[in-house]
Amino acid sequence: MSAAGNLNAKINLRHASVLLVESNQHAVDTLAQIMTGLGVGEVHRAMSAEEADNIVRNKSVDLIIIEPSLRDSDGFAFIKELRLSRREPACSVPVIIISSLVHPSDVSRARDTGANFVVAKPITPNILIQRVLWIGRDKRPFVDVGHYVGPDRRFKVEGPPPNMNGRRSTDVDSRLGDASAPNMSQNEIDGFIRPQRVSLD
Amino acid sequence: MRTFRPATRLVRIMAEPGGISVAQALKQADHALESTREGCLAEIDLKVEQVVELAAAGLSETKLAAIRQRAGEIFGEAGAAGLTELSAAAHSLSRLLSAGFGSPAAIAVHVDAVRALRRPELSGDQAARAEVLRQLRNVVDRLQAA
Repeated sequence: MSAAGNLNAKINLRHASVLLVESNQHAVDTLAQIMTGLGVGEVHRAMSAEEADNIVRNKSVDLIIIEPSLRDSDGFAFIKELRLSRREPACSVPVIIISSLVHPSDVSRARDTGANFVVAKPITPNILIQRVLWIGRDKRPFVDVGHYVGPDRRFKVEGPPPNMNGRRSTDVDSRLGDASAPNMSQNEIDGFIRPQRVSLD
Repeated sequence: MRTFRPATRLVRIMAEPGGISVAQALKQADHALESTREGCLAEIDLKVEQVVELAAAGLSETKLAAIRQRAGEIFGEAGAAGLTELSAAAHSLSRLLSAGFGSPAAIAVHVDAVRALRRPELSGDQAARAEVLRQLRNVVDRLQAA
C-alpha cells in the first residue's frame, strides 16, 4: 500500500497555487518539479522570508511548503508573522514545514508558529501528496489567542490514517493481526473491571 | 480565545471534479524528479567542495553552522533523488554537528564517505555502499566516545 493511500483516488491541484520556500535554488527547483508533477497549476519559488512575504502579499497562495532553516532568514518567524498578520485569506493558508533536522524543540517551535504539519526530509512525491491529502481531511479549527493564530494545537495523536504507513519509528500498523493469546473468560473480564473491596490489615 | 474554521481554498480546489489519479500524479512527479538527477549530483559535488573549503582554514561557530547547513541540504537533495546511503552520510554529519562534535576529523571522514558513495562504480553496488556507511558509523561512534 502506498503511503498516499488509495492510488485510484482522484486529486485535482490544477487550480492550486503553491509557494515553495527553500534555502537554495536547487532545492526549491527540485521541490517545484515534484509539485508540478503532482499536477499543481502554479508554483511560486522563494529563497528567503522576504521573498516569500512579497509573494504572499501580491499573489494568491493556497499552500506554503517551507524549510525554516533558510540561509539568510528565519522561516519560523515568517510563518508566525503571517499568521499574526490576520490578513485573510493569507493568514490561514495551510503551511507544511519540511526540515532536515527535526528535534523535538523544532517540532514544538513549528507547532507554536502555526504550521499545519512538519515533515522530515528527505521529501519524496509520495510523502508530499500524502500531506496534501491530509490537509484536505484536517478537521482542526483555527484558534486566535492573541499571541498565537493557527490550527488548534490541542489534538490527540492517533497515528497515520487507516491504510497509510507512518514514517515515525513509533507508528504502528493500523491493521489488526491475528490474536496472539486466547480470549479472556467472562470471569477474567469481570475481575478486570469490577471494583473490589480491599482490606488493609 | 476565538475559534473559527477558515474557508481553505486548497480544500475546495481539491474537491473540484476532474483531476488525475494519485497513481498518475506520483508517476508524473517521479518522472519529473528523475529529470533533475544529473543536476542533483552536480549540486552535491559543489556542496561537498564548499564543506571542504569551509573546514580548510580553522573552524568557527559561523563556519560550523554553514557546514551544517550544507550537510542538511545534501541530505535532503540526495534523499529526494533516491541516493539513500549518500543522504544518510550527510545526515550523519548534520547530526554530529548539531550534537556539538564539530571536529576537523569528523568533517573529513564524512567528506571522504560522501565522495566514496558518489563514485560511479558504487552506483550499482548496494553492498559496497552499505559497507561505506557501516564504516562511517564505526568512525562516528569512536569520535563520539572519545
